[in-house]
Amino acid sequence: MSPRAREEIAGWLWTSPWLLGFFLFVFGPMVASLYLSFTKYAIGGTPQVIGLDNFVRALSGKDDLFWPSMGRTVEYAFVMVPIGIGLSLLAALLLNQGMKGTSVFRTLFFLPSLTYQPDFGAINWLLWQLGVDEGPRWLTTPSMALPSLMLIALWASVGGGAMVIFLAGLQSVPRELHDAAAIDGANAWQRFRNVTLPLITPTIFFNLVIGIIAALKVFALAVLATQGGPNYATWFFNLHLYNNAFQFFEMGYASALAWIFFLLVVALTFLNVRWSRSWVHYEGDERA
Amino acid sequence: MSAAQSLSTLARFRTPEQVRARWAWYAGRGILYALAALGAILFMGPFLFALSGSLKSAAEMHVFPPQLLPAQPAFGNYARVFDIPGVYFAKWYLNSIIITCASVVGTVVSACAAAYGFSRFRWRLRDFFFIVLLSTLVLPEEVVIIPKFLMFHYVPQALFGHTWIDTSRRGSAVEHSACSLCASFFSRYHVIWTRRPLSMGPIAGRSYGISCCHSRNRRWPPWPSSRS
Repeated sequence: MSPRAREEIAGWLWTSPWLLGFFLFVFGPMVASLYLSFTKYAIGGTPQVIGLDNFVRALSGKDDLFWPSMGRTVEYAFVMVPIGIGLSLLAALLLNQGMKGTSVFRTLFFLPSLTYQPDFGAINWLLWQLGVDEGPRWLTTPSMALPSLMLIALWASVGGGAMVIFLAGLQSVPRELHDAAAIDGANAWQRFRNVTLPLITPTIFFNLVIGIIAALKVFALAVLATQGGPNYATWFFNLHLYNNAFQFFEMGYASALAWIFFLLVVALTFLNVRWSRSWVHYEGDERA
Repeated sequence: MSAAQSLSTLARFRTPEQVRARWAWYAGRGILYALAALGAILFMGPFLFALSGSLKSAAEMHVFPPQLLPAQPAFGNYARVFDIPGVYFAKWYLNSIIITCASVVGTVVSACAAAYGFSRFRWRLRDFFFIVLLSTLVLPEEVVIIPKFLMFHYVPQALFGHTWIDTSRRGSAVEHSACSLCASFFSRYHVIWTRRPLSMGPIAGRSYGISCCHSRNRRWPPWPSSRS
């Protein structure tokens, strides 16, 4: 066998576990779910093709939880993504100052992202210290439930993956650029604004794309803390999808919801990539 | 006086400006440490409260104002978890451990193999599949969860005569985790670990470098960026 042919076979073989998994657990199910989205299907029965009825039912508002849950999810993402990325960047900047014990602080900051903890004891305790007699009933008041979940999610995510990625991004900013700027008389803010920030725009972009998708996918937290309540105040899109599929066993309709969600994610990511061309700076890229 | 001596004298000599700059530096460091400590307290607070909550009796849980330290630590809570009637905690605990171990092993093995295959060999459709691999990064799990659920429901039924998923117990989170087990094999780690040597030239006109947290010279994010 020629070396070229051997290389060809080796490539396919090494990649085959992923290829197998991809076709079995990603591509196959995607095709299946696209088919199911055009059917009426309850588990145990046979799928009946009903054309676009599922999509019409969702988008026309006949399902009166569809648009509210979509709106709530987008609202959640709109609040969470900018604040989350901003705070993660601040935390990363703080931990990138060459302090002693940085690794201890980094561990402490990272710890909450390992576990969801819908417990407001600490905040109620703080409020009590500040003279508030009884802490708010965080998760059982409709107007408080959504902000409360955002607070928990922020607490859990600020020190998590995004911060670690920002740290990696910050460490790749060349020192000599900072030193050169300092010699030219730039103060700390100017060095951040004109040296650090442009050089970490790819990192910000990555966190933005991943962060938007993660925020739109909010699910586990709402299931754990509120089950969508009180009075649907935290009934997110994925909760709606999950309940349709696994509580009401409307697998066909739930597949249509999944595809609507997928198209939303693809559209947002596409817009994001287009938009990024105007503000993301790649070093050594002729486009920049 | 030699040049070296005069230099060292200069280094020891401090103008008032230098002294002030030094104190400003110390003050700045102090503020940084204070901020980091404040952040650590903020992040640890709810965690500590959960920890203290685990040692409280049911009555003490609902005392207001909340107490950070339980009056009578109830260490028995940890034993009681395992014998609440109708709560098969030991079983669930074991399930989580099994799923975690299996998915870590599966991810490491398949991701290493795929990373090696993508980065060291030239094969037809490689560039195409690499783009596919990258785009799975943004694929929401929700799109495939229902067929995957059906697969786990029907395939064992066909093979062994009984299903692995008990659909009569509606909406249990165990079902969800069973389905996500396999999904987690094919996560973003495949992308992170695939680092192409520069000597092989770019894929589809661009090169992809992959970063890990501690390296300074590799690049994050892993998608098409610069021609290095």
